[in-house]
Amino acid sequence: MNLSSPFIYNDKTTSRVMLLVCSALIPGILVSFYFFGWGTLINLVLCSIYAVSAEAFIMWLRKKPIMKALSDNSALLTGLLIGLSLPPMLPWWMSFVGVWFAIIIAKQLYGGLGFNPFNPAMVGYVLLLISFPVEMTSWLPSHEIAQQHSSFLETLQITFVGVTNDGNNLMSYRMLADGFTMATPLDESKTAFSRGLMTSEIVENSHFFSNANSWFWINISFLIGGLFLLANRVTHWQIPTAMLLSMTMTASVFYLYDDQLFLSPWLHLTMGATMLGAFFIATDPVTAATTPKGRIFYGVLIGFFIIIIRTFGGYPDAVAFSVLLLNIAVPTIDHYTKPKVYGSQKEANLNG
Amino acid sequence: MEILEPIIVITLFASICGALLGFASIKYKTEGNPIVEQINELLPQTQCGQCGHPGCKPYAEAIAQGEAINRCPPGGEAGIKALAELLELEIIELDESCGEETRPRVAYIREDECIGCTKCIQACPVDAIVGAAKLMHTVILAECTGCDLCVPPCPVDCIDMPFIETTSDNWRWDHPAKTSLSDLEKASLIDVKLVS
Amino acid sequence: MSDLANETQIIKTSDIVKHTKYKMPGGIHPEEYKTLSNQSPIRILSKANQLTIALSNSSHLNGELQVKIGEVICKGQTLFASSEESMTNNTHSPCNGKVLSIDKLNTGHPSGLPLAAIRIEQAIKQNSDTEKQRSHQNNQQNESWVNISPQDIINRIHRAGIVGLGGAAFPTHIKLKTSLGKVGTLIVNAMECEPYITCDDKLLQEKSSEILQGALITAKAVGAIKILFGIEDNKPEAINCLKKSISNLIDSNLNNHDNKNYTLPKIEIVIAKTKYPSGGEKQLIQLLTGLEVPQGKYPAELGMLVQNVATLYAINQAINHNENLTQRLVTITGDSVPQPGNYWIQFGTPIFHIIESLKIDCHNISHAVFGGPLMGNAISDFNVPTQKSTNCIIFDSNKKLINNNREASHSACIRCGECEFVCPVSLLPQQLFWFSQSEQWEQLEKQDLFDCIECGACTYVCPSKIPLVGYYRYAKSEIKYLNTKHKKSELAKKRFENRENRLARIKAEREEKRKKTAEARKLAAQNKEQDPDGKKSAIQAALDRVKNKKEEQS
Repeated sequence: MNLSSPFIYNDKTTSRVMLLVCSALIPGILVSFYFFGWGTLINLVLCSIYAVSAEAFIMWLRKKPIMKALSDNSALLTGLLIGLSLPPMLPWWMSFVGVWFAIIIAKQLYGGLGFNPFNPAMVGYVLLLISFPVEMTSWLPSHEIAQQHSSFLETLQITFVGVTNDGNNLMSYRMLADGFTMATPLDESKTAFSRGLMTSEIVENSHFFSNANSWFWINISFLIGGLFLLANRVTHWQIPTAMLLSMTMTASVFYLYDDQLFLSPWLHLTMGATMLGAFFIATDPVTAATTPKGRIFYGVLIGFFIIIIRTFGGYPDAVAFSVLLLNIAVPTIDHYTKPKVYGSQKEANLNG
Repeated sequence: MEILEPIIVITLFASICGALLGFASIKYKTEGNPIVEQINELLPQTQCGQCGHPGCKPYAEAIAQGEAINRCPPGGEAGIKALAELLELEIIELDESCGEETRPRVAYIREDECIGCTKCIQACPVDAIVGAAKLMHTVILAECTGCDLCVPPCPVDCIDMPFIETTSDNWRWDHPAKTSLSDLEKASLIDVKLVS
Repeated sequence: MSDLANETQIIKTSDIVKHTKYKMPGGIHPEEYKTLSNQSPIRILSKANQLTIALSNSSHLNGELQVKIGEVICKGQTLFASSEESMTNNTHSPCNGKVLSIDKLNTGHPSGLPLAAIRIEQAIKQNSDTEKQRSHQNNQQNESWVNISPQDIINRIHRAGIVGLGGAAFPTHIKLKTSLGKVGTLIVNAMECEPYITCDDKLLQEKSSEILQGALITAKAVGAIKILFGIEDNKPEAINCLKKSISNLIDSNLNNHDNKNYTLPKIEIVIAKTKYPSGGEKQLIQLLTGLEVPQGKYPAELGMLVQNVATLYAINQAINHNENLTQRLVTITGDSVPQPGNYWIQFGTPIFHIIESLKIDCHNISHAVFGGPLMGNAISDFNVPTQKSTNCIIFDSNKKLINNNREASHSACIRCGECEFVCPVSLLPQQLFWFSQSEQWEQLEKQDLFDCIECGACTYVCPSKIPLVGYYRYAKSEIKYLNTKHKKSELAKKRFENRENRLARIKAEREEKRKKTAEARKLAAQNKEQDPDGKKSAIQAALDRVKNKKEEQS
């Protein structure tokens, strides 16, 4: 009934950690904005508002202190991550559904921060992907090759209404100079493979190359953000390293087997949501494995499944699915990677 | 009759399974009702009768027959929780009509007033009182469960039921969420001084 | 470390001073705050008017009081003599004076409950005669300890009231007795890994030869042939002083051929990188030797004995100078202390005397911390006295020190796993926390909750500011309580069943008896019918007697 030691803490707090993660996203956000226009920013702002409002609403329903829950910045982070995963110019009500589902059902219904077994951002994203496959895979091409660029006002109009004053809709902005429409490089390559094209043919296409270039820069900027987190000891090295190495190895196995039927490891690492997934999504502390060895297994398996699902599965990108799949496995992974407790072997280590 | 084949196969399969089950139910039959033992393990063995049964084992048997699990004050909230977990029932509040949960107590005979009538000795369900007719009676503190059954029979009302003192040896850390300054004051409550 | 290499000695530095090649898992690097108090020489605190000597931390006292209320006593006099096997230790008066009362007072136990203590009024004005310490031990004062038997050494340590002065206050004589014949290596704990505390550091700087003597005496007492001094690398001056003393000792031993029946143990200083909690007994053994003490066992299993430097100093004073343990070096530090440093303080000195004597500014301080900031005790009652276990008192007006604990509702655990990275015992503090929260006691025991040394490293790094060690302490005491309760209910069940059996047996016997009586009565009634006067049976009985006599005669 007395105060228990210890009486000092280091100055890392949950809200500060979450805020650092949010700020590490900034390079990636800026680069995305450069390549994909106002849609990115609008999505981010909308999703953040939705996330914070959902959390406040639920806290009010649960009769818990609202400001305390919001001040830990976890809802803001979830909103930002979903916002970054959504294609620009996605209708406003779709992102609303996705974010509110993520916060309320995937996080709060389980008990709130720290109690959810599944990554809420990924649950929201997967819900939208499965329910609205067409809209969720309608990415804009990078502004270098797009025929039409949308202004801020036009983007707002498309997001909220669907058409602009001039009568343009989403399709208008997805067209390239020669009338083609293009999706993300991963999506593009999957369609091309199914039509029987070879890898070299795919990557030498100039539009593909330009598009892929934009995604390359986006991934690099998320990598920089991720390294910033590692340097500040917000994230531990195990999960990102294990995931990226495992992706490289798995992709290499396929690529070495036949380099015309599979994408190169380099493309896998620089396309899609790889770096975002490695440093920001898979490392979500609440849903990831916790023991040091367990984190490595977790990262390795996520990387493995990303490549497998990307190559053989029905969807172009697979970060969300792999993460959710491994979230289920976390309790088992943690159980079997328990470190050896001091003094627990029958014979003490007599090797000195 | 193509349907004949599956019917024969399934019937055969069902008969084999049934035979195995029947065999197992005879060969591995357990004596008595093991759930009663398990319930009894969770009861505090005070044998006080507050639940309305003459001892803990009868109450355990009653629970196995479906009686409410919230009739044991000495077991308290923790006891109800343990029983609920074992039997997969809902956790309910202690039935106030059976008594209330208090800190543990022991019986203490004021020896000056004892007349040596042995009524309390006969009443004690765990034989925790030492004595004989016309000789001094005294309670063995380590054996006493605090059940209260010795108090009514005593004709001179010389038995007290003080709380067991909290000393630095049996003191427990409080739940961290409950720590507050007022608890620091509550900590030093001392009742009858006992040497345990 | 460069000055170490410049020394030219007959004994090479590398023979004495080594860096450990082993590692301790986990650990943290909190801000050290050592320079607050290790820049000034050791001083003596002024004497308090009244001393409150605590007799034990348990409510069981095993021994006999040696003084009465009102008795005039002198310095070193035994106040309480404990029996050899008990955990209570001998207590002596630190001063000349008078016994004021023998009472139950708050002596700083974490529960705040009052415990047995003797209040003494100190005679401040003393002339040189009464300053002389009266020894109640035998008079083998001038004999070198080399010639005293190990058992004798241990007895003297017991009589001097020496306990482990690293903080746990375990009776040293019991530790030595259980190590007799098993221990080959004496490890001296000079790590002092907790922030703020510098008393061991300063003691090594100013009294290293006495500490060394104490180590040799202890090694003799248990039969150790090797002595390892474990020390952190943030104490270069202490390492230097110790190294010089060891070199001098080895030199003088090489030149001294008198003690042929005594071999000097091999002595080494092993330096480890500064990390908390490398000074924990089990952690130190792992750090210096790479061995792990098996769960539930003691270091003696591995042939090792660990002693703190202050304990060794006290042992030297007891054996070589016949001094009973009545005072110790205490670090008084914190930002409210104008002159932080290390002071010799008599046991039983109340906090308020220290505050007055050192002019500590207390108006921002609600609690003083006894011990270090990670494993100490927060005391709000300034009447509480120092005890044998008090190695440091922190007076910090820094709100951070206490206020975090007042936060009864903390943030949710985000399962970040930081705690798992820093645990020195390689436990999973996160799992321990979740199970403690949901009161799953069996799971806690499976997760080795009782191996937790409560060092506080996990709590230090938790971003949600969860009082983890508070939860573990709560869980440990609940589990112990439930185990005791379970044992008691088992006993009650057995006694109840025995009683039921006894009553049933008595009932059955009575039933038997009643049946027999009823049958006998029935038989008698039958006989009466056939033989109303009883003549027939009398005649029959007579005939039987005659028959029997005839058979005997033939």
